[in-house]
Amino acid sequence: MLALVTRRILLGFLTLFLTLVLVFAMVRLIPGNPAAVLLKDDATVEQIEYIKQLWGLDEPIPVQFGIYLKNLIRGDGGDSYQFQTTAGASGTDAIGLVVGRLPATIELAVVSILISILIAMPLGLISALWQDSWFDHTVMTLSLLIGSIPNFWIGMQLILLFGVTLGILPTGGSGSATHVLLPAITLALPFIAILLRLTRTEVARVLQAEYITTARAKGLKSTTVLVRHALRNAMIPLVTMLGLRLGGLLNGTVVVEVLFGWPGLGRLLIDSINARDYPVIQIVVPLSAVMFVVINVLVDVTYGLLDPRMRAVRL
Amino acid sequence: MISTPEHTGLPGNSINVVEADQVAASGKSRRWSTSTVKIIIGTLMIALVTAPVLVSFFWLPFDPNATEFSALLVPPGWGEHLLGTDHLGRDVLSRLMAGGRVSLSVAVLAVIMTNSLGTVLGLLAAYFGRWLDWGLTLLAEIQLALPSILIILVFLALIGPSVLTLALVIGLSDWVIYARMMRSRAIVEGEREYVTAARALGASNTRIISRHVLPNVLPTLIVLTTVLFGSVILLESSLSYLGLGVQRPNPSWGRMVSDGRDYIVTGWWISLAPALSIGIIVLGATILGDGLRQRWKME
Repeated sequence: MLALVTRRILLGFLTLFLTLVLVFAMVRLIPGNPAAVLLKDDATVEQIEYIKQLWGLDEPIPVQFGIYLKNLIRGDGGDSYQFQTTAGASGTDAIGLVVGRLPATIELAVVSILISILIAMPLGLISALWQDSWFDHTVMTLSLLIGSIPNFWIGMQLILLFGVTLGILPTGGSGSATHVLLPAITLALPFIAILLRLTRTEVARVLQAEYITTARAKGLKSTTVLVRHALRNAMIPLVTMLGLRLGGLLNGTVVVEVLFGWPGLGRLLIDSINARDYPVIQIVVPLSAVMFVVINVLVDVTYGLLDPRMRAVRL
Repeated sequence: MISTPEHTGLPGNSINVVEADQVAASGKSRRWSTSTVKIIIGTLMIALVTAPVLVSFFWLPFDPNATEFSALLVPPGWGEHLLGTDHLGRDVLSRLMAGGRVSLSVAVLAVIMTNSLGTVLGLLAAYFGRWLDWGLTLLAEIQLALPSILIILVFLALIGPSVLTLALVIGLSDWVIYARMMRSRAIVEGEREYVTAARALGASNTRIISRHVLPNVLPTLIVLTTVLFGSVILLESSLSYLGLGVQRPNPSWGRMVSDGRDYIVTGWWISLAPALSIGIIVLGATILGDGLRQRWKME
């Protein structure tokens, strides 16, 4: 167990460092320098040079990377370019900006994952128990449909239905508990489709196993068999799926955040790339990489807890 | 791995149909296997959406980018514009057919890219050297840790959005799954006795891969491809939706859904047509993949 975790953590640190290098190089590959983007078209060459010097962009790139790493270790991510209008004035701290946007994205993510679990797991379980019944067929057809239609289009219809026609839910922005509902449902849709099918397949597979027959033969109550034996063993692939989903969260949230005007990290990332806001990109991406790595370590630990056989993996 | 098909002949085979009819007539109703039904339905759904797109190369009802200000937001009906017009008076059917070219060619190119990259790298990792294997594992880890939307955005900003760029960036973001699958399958196949026997007879790695490993993993590759095809279509549509696809005014399905965003009340048909097209083709690919998986008796 310890070896497994150590291995994951070491791999995690290496991944993280290489991610920092890659992001640093990648943002500088995008054509258009941030000073010119900030100053628009009417800037003189001297002004652009002055700003570049101010931001340290005139240094050789390896030197810039050294300074970035040194500052990052001290907890200083630099000032955002896009949120500072007067050159030379102290701008918005990039780390502060990102941390400020983080709660909105986490709220959206957590609510959408909860919605997915609450809808997909019970339905998948019942479908597995009543295989080939009308219930199973209906649920599976619906999940196929939901997984095939672009979720942003369904999100638009939800806005139309709940926001415009019924007028009971807000359609954009954030603030109250009801604001998160529509974006979270939209974000959850493709995942519900995947989780539902996976739950059904896994529970159906586990129910075939010999230890289930044994458990039944021992005269255990069917709910005990289902919860203590079947569900527990079916959980492992489901946990992987959840981990991957949480880790790769930024990908899915961008579209939903844009559609609903949700003030989260996904939109900040898009805006920052458009404004060539190096400091913000250099915080958002490593942060999401850290989240991915941490979640994966947690997933591996969860495996060990769920299935003792997994603890024996050697370094 | 390929087991004998449960059903003789291919779907659509005329002899087969006659047989089925005779069986039905003789009273012993022998239904088509579920896998056959799924393969047929899936293929039909893909064909339904693909056919008009292919027609668009030769003929279009209207110029997809021509604006007609005397016919703004015309609802669908049996008039001049079957599927109606959008907020600029452009014919929705024509845009749907022309937009499909972009969406489908991006999807096909991206799938080819992912397949070849994943297969080659996976096989290399399995057969040539621990260092390469280790390097690829690390690369896969980094790729999974980096949000693929960032990679896609940066590449699009670097080379400019075009069908080829889109296919490239989408293809690059999914190769890991293929490479991992190919690697593990190649290792499993490589340990089989017939491969050891072939090797003892002096067969080279290249020969073992092309003659023994590849044919055995082909069914898995095909099924995985149907799944990938669906997800690529959805990814392309969300990129176009974000305005990162091909440039205006050229249509693509995702762009059309995005165009209809401000007109969900007064022009619901603008986004319905492309959303349905995406839905039908993705669903078709999923059902086809499901049928093939059943037919080849895969996990």
